[in-house]
Amino acid sequence: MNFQIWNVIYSKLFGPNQTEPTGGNADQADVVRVCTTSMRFKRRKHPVLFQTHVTTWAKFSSAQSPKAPAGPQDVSSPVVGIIEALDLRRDWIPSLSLSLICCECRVFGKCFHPKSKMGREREPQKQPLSFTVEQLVAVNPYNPDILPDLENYVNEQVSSQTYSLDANLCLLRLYQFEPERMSTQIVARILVKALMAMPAPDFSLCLFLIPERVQMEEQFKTLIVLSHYLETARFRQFWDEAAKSRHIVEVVPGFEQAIQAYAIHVLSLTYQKVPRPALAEAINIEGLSLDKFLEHQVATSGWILEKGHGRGQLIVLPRNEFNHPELKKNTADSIPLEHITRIFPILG
Amino acid sequence: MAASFDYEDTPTTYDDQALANRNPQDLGYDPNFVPDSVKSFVVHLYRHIREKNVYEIHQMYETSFQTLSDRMFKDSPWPSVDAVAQYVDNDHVFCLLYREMWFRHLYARLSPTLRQRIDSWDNYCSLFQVVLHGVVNMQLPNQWLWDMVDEFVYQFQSFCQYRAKMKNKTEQEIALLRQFDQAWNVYGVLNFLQALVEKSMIIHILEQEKEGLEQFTSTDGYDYDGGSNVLKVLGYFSMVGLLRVHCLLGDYHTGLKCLLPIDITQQGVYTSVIGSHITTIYHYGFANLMLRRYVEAIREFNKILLYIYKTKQYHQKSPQYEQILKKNEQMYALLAICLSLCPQVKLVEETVNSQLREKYGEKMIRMQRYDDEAFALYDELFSYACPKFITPSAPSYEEPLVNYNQDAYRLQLKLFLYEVKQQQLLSGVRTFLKVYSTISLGKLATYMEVDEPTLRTILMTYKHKTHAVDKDGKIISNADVDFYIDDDMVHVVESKSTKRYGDYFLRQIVKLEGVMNDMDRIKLD
Repeated sequence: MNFQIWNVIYSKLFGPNQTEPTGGNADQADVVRVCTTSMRFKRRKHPVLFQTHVTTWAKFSSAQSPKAPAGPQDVSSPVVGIIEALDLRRDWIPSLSLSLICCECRVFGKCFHPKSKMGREREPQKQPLSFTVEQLVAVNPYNPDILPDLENYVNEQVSSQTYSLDANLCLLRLYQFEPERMSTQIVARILVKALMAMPAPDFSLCLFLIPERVQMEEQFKTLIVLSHYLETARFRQFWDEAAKSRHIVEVVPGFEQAIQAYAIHVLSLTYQKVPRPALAEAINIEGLSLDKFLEHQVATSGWILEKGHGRGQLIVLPRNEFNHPELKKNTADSIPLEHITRIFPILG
Repeated sequence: MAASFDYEDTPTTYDDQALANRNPQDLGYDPNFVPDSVKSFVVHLYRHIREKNVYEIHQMYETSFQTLSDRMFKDSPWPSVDAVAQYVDNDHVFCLLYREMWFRHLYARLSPTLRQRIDSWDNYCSLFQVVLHGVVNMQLPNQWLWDMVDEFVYQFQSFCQYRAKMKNKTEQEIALLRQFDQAWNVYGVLNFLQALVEKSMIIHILEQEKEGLEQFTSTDGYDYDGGSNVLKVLGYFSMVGLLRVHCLLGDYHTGLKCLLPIDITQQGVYTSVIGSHITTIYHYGFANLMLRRYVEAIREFNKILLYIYKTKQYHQKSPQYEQILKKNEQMYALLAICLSLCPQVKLVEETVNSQLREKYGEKMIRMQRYDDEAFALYDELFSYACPKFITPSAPSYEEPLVNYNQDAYRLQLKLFLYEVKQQQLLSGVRTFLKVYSTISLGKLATYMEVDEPTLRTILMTYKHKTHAVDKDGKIISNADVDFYIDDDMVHVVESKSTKRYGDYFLRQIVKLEGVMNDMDRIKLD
C-alpha cells in the first residue's frame, strides 16, 4: 500500500491542512489500520462486516472531526470523500477504487461514483441555485436524497400555480420506497393538484402509488369522492361536496378555475349548443356572474349566445372535431410511403 | 474477457460456505463434482467467448445448456463455480457469467433459499459493476443479454414477494433479512438499470441512428468492428427492464416514459428476441390499459398476438416456450378487457378475433352486462393477466408478523374495478346510440330509465371516458360510436369502418407477382 493514498484520505477526513486530528486521539496509523481492515473484509467477501466497519468508521471519523456534520444521515459523506480521493488515483489503483465504489453502491443502495450522474446529487447542496428541480428529477430519478427538494417543490407548485406531474410522481415513488418518510399533507396537495389536471388521468396515476391504508384517511376519502364525481361528470354533486371540504381544496389557489376549465372541456366534447342551466350547473356560476362570465367567453373564446325555443338561452360552443365529427381528418385512405416501396421492384 | 480486471488476491469462495461444507449425502448431490460433459461445456463456452464466436456461444447457451440441464440437473443445481473455475483459468468475468446461469437454473428448477437469493444479488452487483466500468470486451448473444436483464428483474420481483410473506419466516431468516437489507433493495435495482442505460449512451445512439450517423438496429446491436456489444445492448434492454419494474410498482406513466427512446411501431433490437418482444408489448399494453388509452393497447396486443400466432411453432423447442404461451393467454385476457371497455373490434385482425371469441367470447358478452357477475369477470380476468405487483419497501419486523404480499395487487385491482364501475352505464348508452341516428334526450332518458339531468351526466361521462389524453397532452378519441348534442337532441355519428383497401391491394399485388414468377419458372416440354 502506498502511504500517500492514506495521506489523501486522511486530509479528506480531517480537513485539508491538518496533519493531526483536532479532537480525539486518532492518528494516521489508526486510519490506515481502519482502512486496510475494511478493505480486507471486502476482499474476503464479507459484505456485512465490511458494511458495519465502514459505518462505524465513518461515524467514528465524523465524531472525531469537528468540521464534519454529525448525525446518522451523514455517514456517507466521509466515505464519499474517500472515494473521491481514491478516484484521483484511479490510474494506479483501479481495482482498489473500483471495489470500494462497488461496495458503496451496495451499502447505501445508490451509486456514489463521482463521475456517474448519480453522484451529482451532492452538487446542489453546494450550489443550491444551479439545478432546477425538474433537472434534479431527470438526473436522479431514483435518489432518496432529493426527497426534501421535491417536497418543497410541491409547495412551490401550489403557491406559484404551476404543475409538474413527473416531479410529483417521483416524490410519491420515494414515499412508496420509504413509507416512514411520507408526509400526508404533501400527498394531499399532490392529489388536489392532480384533480386540477383533469381530464388527464393524473389523479389515478397518483392513487396507484399511494398505499391503501393511507387512502383510508378522511381527507383522502374526500378527495377520492371528488374525483369520482368529476370522472362521472356529476358536477352538481362535485360542487356541493367541494363546498363542504373547503379546508382541503382552498389551500390550493386556482382550484375552482381549473375545475371549471375541465367542465368546459367535457361540455365542448359533448355539445354543439348547451342550454344555460346545464352550463351553470357544470361550472357552478349563476345569475349575474354567469352573464359576466359569458360576456368574457364571447369576447375571448368565440362563444355565441342564442335564444332557445322560448325556454331560455343556448350557448354555442366553439367547433372542434369532437362536437363536429365532420371536422375529423380522415387518415384511413392514405398509405404511408414505406408500404408503397414494397411494390417498387414490381412496378419497375 | 477482462484482462485488465484486477483479480482478487485472496482465493474467493463463491458459493455459500455452508453449502460447500455440507456432506454431499445430505444434499443428494455433490456440488463440487464436475462431470466430463460439464467440463467440456465450460471449456468450450469459455473458448468461444474469448474468440468472440457469437454463433457458437448462442448455440451452447440456448441448446447445450438446456440439454445438459435436462439430462443431468433436472432437480439439482449445476456444479459450483469453485469446482469449474479451474477449467477456465479462474477467469473472473467468466465465473460471474457462469454463476449468473447457475442461479437462473436454480430459480427455474428448484426453490432458492434466502441465502441463495442474497448471493445471486451479490453476483449481479459484481457482474454489472464489471460491465459498467467498461472492462469487458466480449460479444454476447442478444438472447443471453436479454435473459440477464429479464432474470434480474424477475429475481427482484420474486424477492419482494418472498420477503412480503412475513408470517412464516423463521428467526434465522428474519435475522438474515435484517442483516442484508441492501440485497435486492429497490433503489439498488433501479439505479443499476438506470446506470446501464446512461453508461451505455444508448439513448444517444438511438438518436444518432435516426439521423443515419450510427448503426445499432441494422446490426441487431452487435459490433462488427471488434468492440463489445455487452454494455450497449444491456443498456438497451434495461429500458424494457425499467418499464417492467415501474409496472410492478404501479407507476405506469414513468414506465412508458422509460420506453420512449424505443420506437415500438417499428422493428428493433427488442423484436430480435421473442422474450423481449413479448415483455415489452405486454407491459406497454398493460400500462396503456391502466391509463385508459384502450385503442393504443388494443392495437399493440393485436399485433403481437398475431405475431405469436404465426411464429409460435418455431419456438416449440425453446426453453421460453411455456412462458410465451402463458403471456399469450394473458394478453388475450387483457385484450378481452380492453374490448369490453372500448368495443373497437374492427382494430383486431380476423385470426386474433376468432381466437379471442373462442377463449373469451362468452365471458365478453357477460362483461357487457355490468351486474355483479360482470364485475366478478373483470376481477377474474384482471387478476389472471396482471403483472405480479410488488411492495418495494422493507417489512416491519415488529410482532405480530403479517403477510403483505397481496397488498400491491389488491390496490391495483381495486382501482381498476373502480374505473370499470365508473364506466358501468356506458354500455347501455352505446346500445341505444347504435340504433338511432337522432334521438331526443327526453326519449333516451325514458328508454334508459333515468331522469334527464342524469342522462346528461351519463352522456358527458361517455365523452370523457372515450377521450383519452395522449403522451403529448393531445385529446384522442377511443369512441366506436360518437355523438353530439344540439340543445336537447342527440345526433349519432357511427364511425364508419374504414377498410384499408390500399394495404389489401398492395398485398395482393405482391402475391400475384409471386404467382406469376412461379409460373414463369415452370418449363413446359
